[in-house]
Amino acid sequence: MPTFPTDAWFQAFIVSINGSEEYRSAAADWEGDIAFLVQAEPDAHVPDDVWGYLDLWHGRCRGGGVVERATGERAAYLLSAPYTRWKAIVLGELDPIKAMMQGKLKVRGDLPTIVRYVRAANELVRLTGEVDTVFPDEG
Amino acid sequence: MNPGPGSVAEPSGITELIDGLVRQNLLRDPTRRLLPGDVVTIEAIDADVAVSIRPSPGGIEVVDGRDPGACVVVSAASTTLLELAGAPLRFGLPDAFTHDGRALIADLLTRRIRVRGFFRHLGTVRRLTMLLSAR
Repeated sequence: MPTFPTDAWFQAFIVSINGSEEYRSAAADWEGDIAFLVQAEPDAHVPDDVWGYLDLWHGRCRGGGVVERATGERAAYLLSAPYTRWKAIVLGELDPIKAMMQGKLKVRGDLPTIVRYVRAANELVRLTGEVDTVFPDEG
Repeated sequence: MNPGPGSVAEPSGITELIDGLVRQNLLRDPTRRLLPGDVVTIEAIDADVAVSIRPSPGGIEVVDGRDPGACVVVSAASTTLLELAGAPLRFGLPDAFTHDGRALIADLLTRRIRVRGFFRHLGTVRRLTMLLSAR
């Protein structure tokens, strides 16, 4: 099982995205890459920020993984939160849209586009829970 | 109308989101506006957060929290609020000729979306939905 948030975990996530008919339907017209900033929490064994990246295009993920900060910052959309918040989202304990409203998950990018694709965004985040995951603070 | 400063020292997520949506929408379509007296509060009931929108001398002001003077109060779950902003509109209201529009009208009828002041301030409701519309 891949450990969150490693490159192996993001590769498993990409497989999950590309296997989802629901995501393919909801994001059929989506064009834009997304970066996921997992902010460091040394006490939870995540000593450095981790930048994940997905190249999303018309309901498919064309590639991605853990990238350098410069690559992540160039993405059209950025979702950022501390590690433990991401962990709660992956475990399905924290609703991502509710987290956005509470300021627990920060969003950067063209907001009208994000709002139009809220069903796709929800499905994308739900798919993180489909990945069999090991967490570094549960070792 | 240009968006006003519209920020508080540490805005909540809903305030950042609505403020950003208003600013980006006004850049795309500067004709969207509120009229004097169009004071609105939007509540994400599941997240227990609220934001208020009102016209200001410099444009439109978006501030944290409930405004006791709001003539329209929209209350719904977080996801439903975003779906409302993303829905296709017809004459400033959800378009009944589309699937998404009909779903939101059903949410209104079943009170999953509550709009206090809907009939009395229909003009404000229409200007608000157009201001926030991601379409």
